[in-house]
Amino acid sequence: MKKWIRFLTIAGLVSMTVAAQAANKPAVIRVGAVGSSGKPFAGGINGIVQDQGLLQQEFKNDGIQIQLTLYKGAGPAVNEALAAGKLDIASIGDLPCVIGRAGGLKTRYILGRDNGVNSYIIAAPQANIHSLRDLKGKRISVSKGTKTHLTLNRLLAQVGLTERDVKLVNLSGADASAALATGSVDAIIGGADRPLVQQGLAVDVYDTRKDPIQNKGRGALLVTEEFAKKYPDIVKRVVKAHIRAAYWASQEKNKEALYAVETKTGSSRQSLVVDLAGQNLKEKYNPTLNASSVASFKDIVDFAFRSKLIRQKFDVDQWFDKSYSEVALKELGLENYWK
Amino acid sequence: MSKSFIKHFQWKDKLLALIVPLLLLILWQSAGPLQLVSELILTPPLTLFHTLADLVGSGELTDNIIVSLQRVVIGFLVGASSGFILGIVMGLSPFLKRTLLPLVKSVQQVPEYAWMPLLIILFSVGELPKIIFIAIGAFYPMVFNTFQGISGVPKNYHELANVYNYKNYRYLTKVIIPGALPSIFTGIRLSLGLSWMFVVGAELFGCDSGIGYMMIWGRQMFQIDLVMSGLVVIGAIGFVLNFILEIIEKRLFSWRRSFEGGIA
Repeated sequence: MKKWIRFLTIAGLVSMTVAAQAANKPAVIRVGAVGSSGKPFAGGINGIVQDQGLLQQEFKNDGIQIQLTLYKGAGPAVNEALAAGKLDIASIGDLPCVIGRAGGLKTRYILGRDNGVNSYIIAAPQANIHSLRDLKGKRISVSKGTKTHLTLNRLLAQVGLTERDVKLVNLSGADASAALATGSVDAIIGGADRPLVQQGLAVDVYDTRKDPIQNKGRGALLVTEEFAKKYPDIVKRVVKAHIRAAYWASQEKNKEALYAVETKTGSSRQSLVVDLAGQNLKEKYNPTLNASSVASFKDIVDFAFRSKLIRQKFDVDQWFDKSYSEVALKELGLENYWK
Repeated sequence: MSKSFIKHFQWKDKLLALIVPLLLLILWQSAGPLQLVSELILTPPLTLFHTLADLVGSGELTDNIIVSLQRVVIGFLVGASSGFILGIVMGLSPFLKRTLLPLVKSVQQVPEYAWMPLLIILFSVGELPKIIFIAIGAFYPMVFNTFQGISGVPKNYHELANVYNYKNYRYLTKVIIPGALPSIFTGIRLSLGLSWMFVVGAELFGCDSGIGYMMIWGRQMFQIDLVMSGLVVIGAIGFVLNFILEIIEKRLFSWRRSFEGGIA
């Protein structure tokens, strides 16, 4: 009897393994994204995917679980999770994903995400900063290695300044706000949510809303090479779910609903309305990997190398993998939507 | 027991003390190739050695060590001297002991890292909050060890001071402090050790120099070898500081014999 039980158990396990291999699907897809500083909710396209349960819907019939982890440590924390082998799919900002790839992370760039992420520079009223030029010699708080760090460099370059012309203070989130409120720094660069301005403790200096899209922050959807090799069809379906979210966000008629999703991150509706005012949603949420995004990332790699943020360059063309998005766009009938 | 027998055992002890670190080093180097941990997360020792050599060559490491040591020295002096004075005051005055000791013990319950946001708000992001943060770390071991040392000065020392008619300054310098010196020195050792550990915490916030900053930079730029290099340097300098103080302590208190473990 015992022999039979042992035989049946082994046979069961073998058949399950064979079945799993035949189906070629993982039991779980581990997705990581940058968490907002407020509530446990992702921003932008990730927020829509999360809110509408698009990944869960896509894989419901396959019995594949979606394990979403939001990292408060922003891009650097997502890179660490990728290095530790804790993620299959990662959503991350432009500069951090370049830093990660240059540092040896074996990832592929499979989809664009949130192209027009605006940055806002605010200053203490007594700091006498009214324009980008006035930043010279001032103490500016920025979270180094994040996409706002890159944006700050681009903005400084617009007026002929570099990081060396200012005093960068490496702070983020609440610490940066506290430092500005107490006069420890003269200015900070951050997102659209600016409670200090609303409280009269800081004044707006500059924001990127009217800048060309190339100057704004952008995000990326990455897949680990290992996962992509094992489950190419699953990766295509992950991409498809994100394209659905991008398509939904690109439509003006969904703007109100979009605000509702974004406020789940803890951002104020008022800030979001101001941030999105006059923005071309189709351009902002264009996920396609086009010549513009390749050129933009080549610039980022050059900048990061020049600024000694990365030790070695890498080939952006080799890193980008359009194959998943091209098929997914075709299947959704959206191959011409963002062109 | 013959001298050669003791010598043999001393060598054996030293060998045993080397075996574990050596095995750990081998395991560490093999962790990547054996796919136990990604080399991107745990930099192998040989790569680390090259990074350290580069950092020394470029002068970056030396500059950061000097900045951190300066912060440690100032923070330690401020924190340890404050603790020393408060320890003496509480040790000598039963009234002040009753008044201040419960307060000091209560404030000690606040986790040290919880002070940092408040320090930034109060004192900006310059050097001052970092020095105060390190000083907080150095303060507690010093105040408690000084207080305990003074409380533990034998009663007959006080009687002797009365016989010699020692008052105030002479009483303090000839009887109290010498009597409490072993405990005070333990406080100094702990204070300095904690100051060195706290410097890393101090440099996590709004900093652009120092070993702690170098580690944070390495983390944000996904250059984990910089983080590991910082760890190695902190450990090595902490070890050297402790070693120097141990030698001083042994020389100062050579008359004191203490039980060091083992069976005679």
